[in-house]
Amino acid sequence: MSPRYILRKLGQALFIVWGVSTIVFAAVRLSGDPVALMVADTAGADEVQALRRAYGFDRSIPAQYLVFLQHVSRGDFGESLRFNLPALSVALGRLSATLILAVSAMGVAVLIGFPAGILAAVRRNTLLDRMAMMSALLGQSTPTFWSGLLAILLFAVWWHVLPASGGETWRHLVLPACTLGWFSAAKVSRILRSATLEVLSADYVRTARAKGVPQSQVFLKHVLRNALISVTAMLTLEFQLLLGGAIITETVFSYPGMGRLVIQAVGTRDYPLVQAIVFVFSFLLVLTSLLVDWLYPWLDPRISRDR
Amino acid sequence: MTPAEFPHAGRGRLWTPGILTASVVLLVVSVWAIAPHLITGANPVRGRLMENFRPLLGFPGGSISHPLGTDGLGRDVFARIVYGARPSLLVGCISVILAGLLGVIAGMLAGYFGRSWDLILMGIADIQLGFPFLLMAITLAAIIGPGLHTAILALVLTGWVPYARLTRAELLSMREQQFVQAAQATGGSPLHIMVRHILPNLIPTLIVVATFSFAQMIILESALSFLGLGMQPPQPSWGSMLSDARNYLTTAWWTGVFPGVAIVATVLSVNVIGERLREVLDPRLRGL
Repeated sequence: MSPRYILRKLGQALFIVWGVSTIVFAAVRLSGDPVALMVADTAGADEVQALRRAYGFDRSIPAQYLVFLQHVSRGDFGESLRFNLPALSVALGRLSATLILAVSAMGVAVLIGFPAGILAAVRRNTLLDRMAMMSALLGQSTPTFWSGLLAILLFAVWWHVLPASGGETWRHLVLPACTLGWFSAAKVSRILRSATLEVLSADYVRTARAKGVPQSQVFLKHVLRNALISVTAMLTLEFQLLLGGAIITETVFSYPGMGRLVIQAVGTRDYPLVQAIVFVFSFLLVLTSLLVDWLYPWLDPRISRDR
Repeated sequence: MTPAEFPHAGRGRLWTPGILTASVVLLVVSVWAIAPHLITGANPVRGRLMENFRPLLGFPGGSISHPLGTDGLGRDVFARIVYGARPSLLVGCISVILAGLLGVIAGMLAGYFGRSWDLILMGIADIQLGFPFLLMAITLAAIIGPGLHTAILALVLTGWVPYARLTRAELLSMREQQFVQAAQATGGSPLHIMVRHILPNLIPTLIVVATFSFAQMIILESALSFLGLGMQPPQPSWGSMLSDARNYLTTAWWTGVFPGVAIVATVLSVNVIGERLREVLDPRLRGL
């Protein structure tokens, strides 16, 4: 991998993080008085004035922007109004819970989506294929907050086998992870099916079969490996969607992650915290994109790293 | 695969049972959205507290006056679902149209007018990838306050990117084709070439993308209402009904089931029709 390529990708990543931060900065200022967003309606005029000075809102916009960039580059988003702690550390305190949820959901998606997609491709146009694709379409059309409610209703309210909310033990993780992963499983199986179908009709698969390579070998070494290339890129994108979806799933299950925190922060007008969480989320997204850029050429040597 | 092998690929019967069912569902939901008062006489906003948590018809305590039961404030669940169709479909339609227009215009500017436009617009599109829809909506809701306008703004601001990418990519390949070069050689202005020669070729693909995006937008709108960022109570919307239902799942399961059925039925129908459109209009997109 050439240093130029790495530099370019890192530059792109920095650009995106800068862009998101700047949008948030601009949006707060465009809305009028940001301090009015932060304080309660009952706050006195001198209280508002003090806060305005504390946050530097009494200075000119370009000056504010420079200070903002300086602070952000140090990871300083100001203090959370509700927790009276640095906003970034409040956000990062919930990061692991969200990551665990997203990774488990990814696991669920792969565990369900891979076998379903491969089976559907191999048994193409059979009842099995139709059923797999029908449930994929159904999965894509079902919002997570509803499948989550149904899951709570079945497993917590009626059958009492799993807890409905919270996040203390692994048992609390099962329902949110399955709910979040189910949506992606649908997409994974569809993509894998069409990728497998495409590879199955490739010349090298026919050649491998013709020269007498055992079916299982053909499948593992030729078909699956090639089908997985296109699925990998899609999985990264899916992971980014899962992170976003975590916001809803965490709210449904009162799971103590960053997503639920950001909804609460909007409700309590904890603006510095919203800003910090948006920053952490976009940082994660950019990081996953970088990761796939590095993984992709490794999976598929035909793609040069120096694109 | 050659056309000779699959002579009927992408054709076949127009009205399969799936398409028929999907069309009927969408027709019904559209009528709900346009004229809900013709469907149900019950008030979707005001209920009788005395009649709260009535179960649905067929269960002990259920009655024909509330076929799907009542919620915690004694409001008729069926009436709220019928009236809730409007925000979902309205936000979906407006957002798809605006995002489509914005995206196509941006894609054309980027694809046709060359490098500087291209760099700026695709740079913005890249930033948008780092700023997923829900976060955008949350930021907007924090700033301009929650409501339908927030939902539409968030959906448009995030929804334009696929159209822009697609339009740009198609433009770049079409620009080199003979019919465009012929139009240029005979002195057609860029606007004329765009509108008369390039856009018509893009429309089938755009229709397919818009259909799937419409389904997506309905889900996202109800997600926003669920999070309290979209349609505000007491006005009914499918998402906020589910959010309410979360608090009394143990006593009134029906309040949490039927609004979801409405969402899934609508979105599934749009997706089924989208699949068919894709087969008919744009075989290249199949399997995506």
